[in-house]
Amino acid sequence: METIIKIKDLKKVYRMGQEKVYALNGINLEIKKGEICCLYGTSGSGKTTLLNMVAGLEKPTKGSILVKNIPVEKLNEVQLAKFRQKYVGFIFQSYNLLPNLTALENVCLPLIFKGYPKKVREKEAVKMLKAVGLGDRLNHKPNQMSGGQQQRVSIARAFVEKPEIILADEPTGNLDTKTTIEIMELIAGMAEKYGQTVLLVSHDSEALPYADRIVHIRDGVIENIEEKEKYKLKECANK
Amino acid sequence: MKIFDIIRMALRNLFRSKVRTVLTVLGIVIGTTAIIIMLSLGIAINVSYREQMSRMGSLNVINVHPNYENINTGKRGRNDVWVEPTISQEELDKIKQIPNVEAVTPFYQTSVKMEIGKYLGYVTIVGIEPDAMEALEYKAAEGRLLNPDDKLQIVFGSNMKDQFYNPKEMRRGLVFYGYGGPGEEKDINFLEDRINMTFDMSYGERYPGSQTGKKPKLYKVEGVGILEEGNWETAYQAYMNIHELVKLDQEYKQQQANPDQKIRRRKTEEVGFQQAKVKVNEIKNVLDVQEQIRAIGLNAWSMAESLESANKTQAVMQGVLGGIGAISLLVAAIGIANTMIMAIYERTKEIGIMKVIGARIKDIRRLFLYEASMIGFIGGVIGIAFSFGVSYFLNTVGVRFLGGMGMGMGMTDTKLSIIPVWLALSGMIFSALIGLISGFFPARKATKLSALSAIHTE
Repeated sequence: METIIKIKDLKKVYRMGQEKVYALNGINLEIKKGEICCLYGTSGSGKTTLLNMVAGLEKPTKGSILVKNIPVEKLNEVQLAKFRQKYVGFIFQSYNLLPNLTALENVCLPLIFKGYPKKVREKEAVKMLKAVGLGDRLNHKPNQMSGGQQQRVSIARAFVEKPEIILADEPTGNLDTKTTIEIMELIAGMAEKYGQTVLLVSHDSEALPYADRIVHIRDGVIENIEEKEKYKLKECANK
Repeated sequence: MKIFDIIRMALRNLFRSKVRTVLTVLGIVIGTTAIIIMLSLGIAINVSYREQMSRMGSLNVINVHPNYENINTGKRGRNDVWVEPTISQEELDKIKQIPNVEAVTPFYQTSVKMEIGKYLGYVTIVGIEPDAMEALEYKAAEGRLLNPDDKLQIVFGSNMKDQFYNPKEMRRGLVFYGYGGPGEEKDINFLEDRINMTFDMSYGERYPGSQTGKKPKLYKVEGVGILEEGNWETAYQAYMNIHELVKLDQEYKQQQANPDQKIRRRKTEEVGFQQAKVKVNEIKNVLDVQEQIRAIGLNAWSMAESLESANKTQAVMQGVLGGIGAISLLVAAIGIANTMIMAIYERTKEIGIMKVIGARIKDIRRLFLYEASMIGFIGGVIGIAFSFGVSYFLNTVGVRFLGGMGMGMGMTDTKLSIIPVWLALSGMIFSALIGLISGFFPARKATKLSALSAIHTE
């Protein structure tokens, strides 16, 4: 199976006065193409920091991250913007939709940045919103929708460009159990359909069944990696 | 990101905070209006000055006079009588040699009396080279200008009728010299009536002055043209072939002289002239030619030169007026910068989200620059529309007001404020540019925001 993300000896040190705080202390991890990988841990374990570094939102103190063989930590702002536009889709805990845009416009946004013509991008966005079950909510603004619906819009937005990697930062953190299951089904289903790799950060046990691998993180180090049956199946299938 | 999408997004953002946008735009409107109105006042003054100047004569004509300052070294005639300095033919030939000179003519000016029907008139008659008339921009409203073979043909100035009077009416005390009664149209047709001309100033008077010598001749002359109105310099003069006029005048002088004083009749080339005019091909060469004429030792004066110095004063005035307007535009520009910085604080999270979902740095920068320059542009457009309104108001109500105070006498068509197209267009471009410049720093700030911390801002 092809490795899409390769993390090597990653360290992140914060200075709190005289004291050094290790948010990440030597992480080594390889993520395969098409895998759904869950970074699992309590808050403060460093899992979100790790995710941010994969997206290039934070710079590591030491170590390297290769995404599709691109050294993310060495990219400048302009290159990072291009990199994210090309390879990465984001799903956040707090949805992060633009409040003054409708659902349709929010989903269109990544395509606008890519310079797609209006007709094409609206067609794609409508298709995506229908796929997440919001075909009747196209022209609603975020504040006219429930949390679950907003998260669906955000998923549609992340998937609309068909990026190879989806980064999801506690996507179900603000949702109830029933909605959590719906959202996780949606993410897993879509990723499978388009063969995308999902890196999921969660401290929510409801999300775990959807992951192929669970990486337990505590105090900035990987405690253990739990490989599920389906991960092994996927590995075999790819071989 | 496509330009069209950026514009749409920028407009949408502006529309979101309507009140703030309107207030910022208002600042620019006031700034633009101030600067445009101030400049338009200066331009109007300039234009009316130019009009006034052009009524006094053409801009690329130089008036040449003898050098009166040169009295001590001046020519002294017989019996040590000081002779008025004049321009010699030799000097005129030198002027002709100066590059860019198109035409030169001396002027030979004298007074005659004319009789047309029942009217008499004292006429200033000017001898001119017929060839030069056209070059010097004399224009005939009726008839024609002089031809080189004209002799007793005369071209009249536009207001020459004013110089004629009816001696009978004057004796009855009905008219003042030179002016007819109000509304009375004098029955004079210069082009068709018979005209008599004489150097005898007492001709036609009841009590003619004592005449030494013989009675002066009476010449039958023919009016061939009337000059266009609107030039004060030429309105009250009549024009004639200089060679003929010199000949007649010399004849008269010889006739009037004491028999024992032998006066030789001089030809045109030998007499001196009180004045000459030089036509220069282009206005920009006028000052140069003028310098060279002065080098010959003559006095030279031109409209262009006085216009030049007037232009300098007016440039200073324009600068001061424009500066006052510029201050208010500067304040408005600071307003734009302030609005944009506020917008960035408000939209920090939004900027972060856009960065994370794939907006390029240049997209973010352009978005803010467009918003800022749109404020400037919209303000500029409204400001210009507003300026035209203010300008119209000044030109109607304002002019009447000044007229009422007695300042605008006889200038009913004078404009207080003129906004040329270039001013309107550059006002628009300038205000958009001001917006762009004031948006530059905020836009830079927006691009420098860290996506991560921006997203976590609430």
